[in-house]
Amino acid sequence: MKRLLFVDDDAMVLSGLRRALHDMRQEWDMQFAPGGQAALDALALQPFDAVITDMRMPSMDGAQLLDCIKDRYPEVVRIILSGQSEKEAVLRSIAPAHQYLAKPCDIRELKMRLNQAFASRDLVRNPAIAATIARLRSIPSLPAIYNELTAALRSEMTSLGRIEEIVAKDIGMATKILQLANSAFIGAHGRVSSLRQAVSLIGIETVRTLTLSIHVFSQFDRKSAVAFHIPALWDHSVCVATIAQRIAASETADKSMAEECFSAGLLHDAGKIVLLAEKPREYSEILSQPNSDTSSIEAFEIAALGCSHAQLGAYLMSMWGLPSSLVHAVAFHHRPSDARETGFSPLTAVHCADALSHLPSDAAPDSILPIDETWLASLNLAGKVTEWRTFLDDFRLAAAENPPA
Amino acid sequence: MREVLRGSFVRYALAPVFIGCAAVLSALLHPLIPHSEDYLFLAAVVASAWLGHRGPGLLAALLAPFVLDYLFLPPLHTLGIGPEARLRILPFLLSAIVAAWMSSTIGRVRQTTALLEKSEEKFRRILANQPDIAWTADQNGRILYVSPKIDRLIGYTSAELRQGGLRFLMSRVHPADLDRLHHANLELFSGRAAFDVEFRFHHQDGAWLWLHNRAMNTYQANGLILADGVLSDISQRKTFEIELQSKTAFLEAQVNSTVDGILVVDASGRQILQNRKLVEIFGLPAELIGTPDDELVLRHAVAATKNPESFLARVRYLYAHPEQTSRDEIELKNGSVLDRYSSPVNGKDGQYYGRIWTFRDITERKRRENTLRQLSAAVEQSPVSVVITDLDGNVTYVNRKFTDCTGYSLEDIRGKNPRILNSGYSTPEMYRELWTTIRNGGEWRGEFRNRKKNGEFYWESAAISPILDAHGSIASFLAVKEDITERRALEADLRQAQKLEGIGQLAAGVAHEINTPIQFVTDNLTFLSESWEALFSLLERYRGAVHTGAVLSPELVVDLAQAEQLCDLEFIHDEVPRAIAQSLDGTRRIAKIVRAIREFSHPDLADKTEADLNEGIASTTVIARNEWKYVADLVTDLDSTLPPVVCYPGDINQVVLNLIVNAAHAIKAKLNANGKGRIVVRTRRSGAFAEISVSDTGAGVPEAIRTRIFEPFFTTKEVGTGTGQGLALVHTVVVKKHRGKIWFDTELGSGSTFFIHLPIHANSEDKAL
Repeated sequence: MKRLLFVDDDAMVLSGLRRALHDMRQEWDMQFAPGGQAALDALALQPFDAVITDMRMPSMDGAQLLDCIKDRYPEVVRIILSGQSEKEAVLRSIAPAHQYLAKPCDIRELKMRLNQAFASRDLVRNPAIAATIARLRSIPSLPAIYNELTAALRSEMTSLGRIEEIVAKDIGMATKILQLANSAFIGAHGRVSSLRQAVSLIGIETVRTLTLSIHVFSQFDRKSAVAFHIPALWDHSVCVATIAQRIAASETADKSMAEECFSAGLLHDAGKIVLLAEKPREYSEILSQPNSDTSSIEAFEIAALGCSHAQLGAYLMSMWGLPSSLVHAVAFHHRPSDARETGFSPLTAVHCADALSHLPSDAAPDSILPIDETWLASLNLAGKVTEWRTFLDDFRLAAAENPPA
Repeated sequence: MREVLRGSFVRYALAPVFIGCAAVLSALLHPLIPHSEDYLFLAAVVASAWLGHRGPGLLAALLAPFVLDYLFLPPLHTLGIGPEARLRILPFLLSAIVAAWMSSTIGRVRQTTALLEKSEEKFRRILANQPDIAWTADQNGRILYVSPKIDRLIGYTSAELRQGGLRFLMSRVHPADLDRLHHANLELFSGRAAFDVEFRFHHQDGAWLWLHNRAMNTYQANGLILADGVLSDISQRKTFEIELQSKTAFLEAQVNSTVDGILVVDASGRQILQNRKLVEIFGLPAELIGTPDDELVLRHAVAATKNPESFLARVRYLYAHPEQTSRDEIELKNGSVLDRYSSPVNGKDGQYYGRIWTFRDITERKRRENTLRQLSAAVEQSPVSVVITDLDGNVTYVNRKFTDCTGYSLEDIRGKNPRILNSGYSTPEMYRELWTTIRNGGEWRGEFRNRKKNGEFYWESAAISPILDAHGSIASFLAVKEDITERRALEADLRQAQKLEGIGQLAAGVAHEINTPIQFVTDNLTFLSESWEALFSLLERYRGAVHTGAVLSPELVVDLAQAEQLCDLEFIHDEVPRAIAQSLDGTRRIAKIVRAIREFSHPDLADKTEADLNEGIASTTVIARNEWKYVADLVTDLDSTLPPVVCYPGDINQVVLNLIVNAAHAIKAKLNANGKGRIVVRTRRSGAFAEISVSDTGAGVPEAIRTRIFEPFFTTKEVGTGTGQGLALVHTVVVKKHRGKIWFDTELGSGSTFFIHLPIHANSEDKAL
């Protein structure tokens, strides 16, 4: 039984919500508070799983309320349901919230998002980790790339293409951009999983405000000792993303699927960065171990921290309302058969790409891949591996010619 | 004859001739007179000597004894000189010599006497014709001689003067000249200086004469020192002299007092006159003043000019063409500009005396000319239209811009009244006010809607003022006009843009106002839909039970009760009516907002119309609700007896909106989300005006900015919030468009109240604005 708290100063809105969600009464314990203070009072009495609040309220607005809740009850899913469309206010409110929905909101959409958020909570069993994740405003970025972004945004002559280029270089930024694009205030009705689409939907001005005024991105501390792991991680993520995109392109004609696979590939190891940021000592130890880049790492992670990077990443993304296809791809990229999916999906592409990317450059053409063969066979993709290996070679060749900056 | 004789050797013939005669005679007379031959020959010698002088005399003397001997000494009829002959030679010689000498002496004396007589005659003649008087005086003041003409000169005879002497003379001399005369006299006789004195003398008949007395030197005679002198009457000359002097002085004064620099050169180019002004103008050094060296002067003058070559060229040309007059302008290096005029100087008889150059400094004039030209050009080329009319308002001048703008050239419109441009916009009252203002010396400003020559309409803003003459009375009228058609269009655009911006700002707020009801209406309808299904399925079960005639078994009862429980009938029972009621309420809310939007953005017509201010305010408060509902309670206090007001309703709504939004912001600034403030919107009638007031309990307006809050673009809000246009728009609408008033009371920390007065009835000037 999940407990939800709805907060709005307009009583009729609360009544409407109450009635419309009445059919969920068996699964959700729903409570309704007429204002920020009342909400905090309610939270003090009982633990809640989610808070859905209006933005504009007298005395304490939604953003302030969620800020309080983030500090005091970090594991609570924070959602803003607002009638506002004023950009400034909206952008300010985004920071403390996991998700942002606009009124009038389709009740089914609301239900779906809440369900998804709740589902992922089971991914991470360690309450401390869960709390840490829930408190996270953003995945930290490398300072160099962060500076690059701010420099580009400060210049008058930057373009969307440039912004996208920079954002694609950083997992933290890419994740955040996708989160924002999936917030209702952008006005997108579909689910945004392509980074390019996300950036163009948000627009340069908004990115500028978000980055420079609201500081929605964060950076690794310059003195952080673990930050040196990041470039290697990023290289790997780009490799997986590229190969996944090509796999998708070769399997389906759906262009958006290819872009989705790219994003999934880019973000699949985001959990590792979070762990580096939050548990630097422990995690860098784990990373320094041999074979740390294979699926066996999951075992170490669960042993040491109680959750794997895959679960962690998936949890964060689902809290942030990223499309479920992405969430799945991240969650199960090491154990795809657990996802119980049918058909080609970003998970498929990412899993294969990930396995391919771990092949050493001098591997024999017929060396065994750490791919779930059975699962692959169930998707009728068994014979494709050889073909896909060429993608890997292409990528490595291209990477050798154009070493990333 | 003497001269003839003297000069020639013919006189030597005298000797033999006379001797011959003597011989003949003595031959004749010898018998009669004894020793007559001696005397005869002696006579012949003397005669030769007398008439022929020494030469012939000596010759005769030598001849005589020989001839005598020859003739009369018979024993000696030989040639040669006997002893007696030799004895006779000596006396003959002597007598010849004596005779010759006496002869010449007597001759000389006679000559001298004759000369003297001639000379005296000549002298006398000269003196007789000479106007001057000759005199001789001695050192004792005695006048020894004075020309007889003296009486004609001074009225006193020479006898009187000789008698009276110097003393008498001196007594008639002018006292002022006396000393000089005495002194000169002394100087003369002490041998030191020549005597040359001019003095005034009293004529015998009482008139004053100017006399000039000269004596060169002195000489001694008869134991006295004498002096010879000449006395002349110079009265006339003196008169001329004085006249000349005064004329000269006058002329000099004239020449030096003129503003022109004057230079006169004679026919050969040498300068004979230059005045002070010339020196000044050319800055000639002091040493050159009065120097006859015109080369130096010319060089200096030329050096001072900007273009020496052309200066000299003209000079040379004019010297080559002495009869020509010339006038030109020259520039000096120091920036002065001179008007140079030159003409020949001809005497009354037509004789060419030289050339006169006059230089006049026209720098100031030139400067004024330049300024005038500049100003004239400025007016002519000005980017605003300039019209000048006479006292009756008829056009005397228009500049180029006017022609460009209206299509009427100066020729088209000269003498006509600018009223021909009128399009009927301006009222007679406006013209009356205009004329009254400018006739009283004031400046009138206003706007006209005029028609161009081609029929097009345009707007112009004009400033009309009188032009005063030197005495201060009105000479003409000046109108400076600017075509503001574009500006007005831009202003209209700006107003529209401001309005749209205002609307845009509120769109977000209004959207929110609409979204909220939609949210719960949708939710309620979702609920109603689900409830309907649940109810109907329950109903179906009941119907099923009834239709089959089933007995109401306890299982059925339990079954039905369970079904009821399952669909939460109680909840449905309570909530459905509420859901329906609230949904209706919500839709009504939305309708009201939509209506208010329609009311608010009432498109403004060209003319003002009557409007119910209270209704407008009611809509406006609904529109603005999102702005104030979180920070304040808004209360309206509207006077229901307020008559309809002639205005632009859309603009007035915008005004009230801006004031309400400002009030909400002021409260927010003060409270910052702690509690709620209070806004009161009031209407009431105030005489001929409708009064709207908006009060808030906000932060108040600080002293420092109270005079600035109506300025366009002035804002105290942060960048990105508020553009500073709100109150500026309010001011423009109330004051300019409606001829109303706006003011405010404020107290820091307590709040502010803004008051607006709108004239209830239209002014006749408000047509077609």
